[in-house]
Amino acid sequence: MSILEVKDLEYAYSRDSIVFKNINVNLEEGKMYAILGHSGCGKTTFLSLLGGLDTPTKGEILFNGENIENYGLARHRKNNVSFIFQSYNLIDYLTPAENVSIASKLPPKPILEKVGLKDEEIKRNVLKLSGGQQQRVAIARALASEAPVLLADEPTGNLDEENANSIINILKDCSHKMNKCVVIVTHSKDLAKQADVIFRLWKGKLQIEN
Amino acid sequence: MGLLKRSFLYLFRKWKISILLLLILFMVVTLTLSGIAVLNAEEQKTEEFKEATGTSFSIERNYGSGEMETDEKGNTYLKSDAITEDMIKEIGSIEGISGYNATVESIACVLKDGKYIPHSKDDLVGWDEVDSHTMSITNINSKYSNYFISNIFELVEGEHITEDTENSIIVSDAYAKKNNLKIGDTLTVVNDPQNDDPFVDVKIIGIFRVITDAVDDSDGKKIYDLAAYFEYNDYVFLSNDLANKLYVNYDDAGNGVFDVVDFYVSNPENLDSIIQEVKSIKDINWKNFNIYADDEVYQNTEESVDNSSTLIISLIVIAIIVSISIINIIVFMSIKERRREIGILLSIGKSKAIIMFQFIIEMMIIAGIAFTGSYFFSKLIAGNLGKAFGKVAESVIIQNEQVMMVSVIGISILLAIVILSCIPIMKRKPRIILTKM
Repeated sequence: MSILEVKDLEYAYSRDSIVFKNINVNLEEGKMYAILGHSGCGKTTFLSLLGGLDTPTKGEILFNGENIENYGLARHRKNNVSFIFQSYNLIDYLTPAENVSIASKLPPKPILEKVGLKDEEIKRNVLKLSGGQQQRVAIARALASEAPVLLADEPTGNLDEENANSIINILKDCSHKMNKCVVIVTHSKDLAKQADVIFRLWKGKLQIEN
Repeated sequence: MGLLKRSFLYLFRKWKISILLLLILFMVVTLTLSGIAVLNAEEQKTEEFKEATGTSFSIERNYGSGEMETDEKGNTYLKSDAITEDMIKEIGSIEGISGYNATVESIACVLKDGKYIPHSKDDLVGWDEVDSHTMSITNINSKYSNYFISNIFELVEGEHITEDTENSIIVSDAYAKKNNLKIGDTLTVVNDPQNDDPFVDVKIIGIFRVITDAVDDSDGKKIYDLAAYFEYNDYVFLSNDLANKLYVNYDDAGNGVFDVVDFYVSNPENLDSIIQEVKSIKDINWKNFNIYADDEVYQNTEESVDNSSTLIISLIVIAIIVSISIINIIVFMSIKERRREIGILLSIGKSKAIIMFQFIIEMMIIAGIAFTGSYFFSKLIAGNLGKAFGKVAESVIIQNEQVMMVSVIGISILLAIVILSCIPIMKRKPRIILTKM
């Protein structure tokens, strides 16, 4: 069953500058989706709309059948979706454990250990962690929220191959083992190949890639 | 993680900016509280000065208005009208006059146990009658005497002479010490023993001390200059009834006749209108009297008060403006630098209001510490700051109402700064905030 339904979605900066239009897609729990596309095609914008960080020009996004704008975008971001960003987006004056705690009341340590952080790394300032470690913290924060949808924007973009593979595996586990709906925006075809469904955003249209 | 914990973590981990804001707030609040306390002390002093002295006008006989006559003993008198008690009471009853004092200045010789006692000056000539000469001032209300009003003398023991006081005298502490005198001692005074004037027993009811080296310039306006020959310590103040008893051989003194009378007005601003009212009393022949206003002390004091107040207010205003500007810049830059944090918090579902509330809590924690510290520190330094502006340290008090007022205004300003600094970021969509990081 679809957890997210996108209906006739359109986003435009102005009348003459339409990023995409007439997008219709259903996203299900337990699947990992990858959205490919060239820079500036609107991948991050599409992800932002799914996550309620912005509002569409036309169309609607339904979460479990309810329009997210009616539900409340802040509430949608709090309860329904979690984000992973390319630049990790961690709060610099908090430790990894505290960064996880801002999104959830669950104990942060088990979640951080689950994504591969060691005990001493959990208490360290986030800026003193490597890029890979920071992205694991960001994933831990996303997992801690217990939201059924995980939206990841270029999650391996700043990582080396080893760390990127590790992160991909964690995301795959999220969808297949934790039954989350994982939507990844990426340039990387290798990453996209790991997804259950691949979309390509091309000339303002979202198409399934075979 | 709760809002409060997040706020404390920010303040502790970003301690440099926290300490900077704390110090600026601490300085400006301390300066403001101390400045207001000094201003209040200034205001209070002015009010007390107005109440105590107000300002005065004097009426004296016009020695240039009439002929002089000499009696068979060789005493020379002015023939024209004298200042009478009725005249004083009539003028004294005018609204706005807070008190008055009429005086007769003369010379008195003082005896103790029948023997002349010397004045405090060391230039004794060995002739007891001359060596016991003092400057005598007969008073209706000695507390309104220019010498006490102008802080030349200060009553240190006993009480002042009033209209009801009889056979009483006030002497200086130096004079009392030299002659072993104390409150309650009985002395004898005589105006001029060579003129067959009567000897009258009097009791010491007060002792004053000379607290200034100021020169008595009041005689510059008067005909007589007796004061030029006497030390302040050899001034004696006599109760008014003694004029009738001592000056029986003279027509221009005693019997309710005075040389000069000073009237004090409660509000210096009304001085001119009161003088006009006095001048309009028809049964007084103003050709025989001179009336002159004396508000020089008030004007000088007011000018000095105005200058001090302006200086203090200017300092406070400049300090506040500079501090608010600096705080505004720091808070604005700090919130701008926290754009990433705002974006992250928005992405995990925190509302804009909650995020702004966190910034407000952080500012209130800093303000709470700064304001509390300032309150106690101001209490410590306000006195010394007051001294720099010529105030008595004890009169400079930090009052709770002022602290409350400064706190409410200060916190309102800080709230406005935080909210205004948040607006440019908060009005944007979360996606824009995140992409502009």
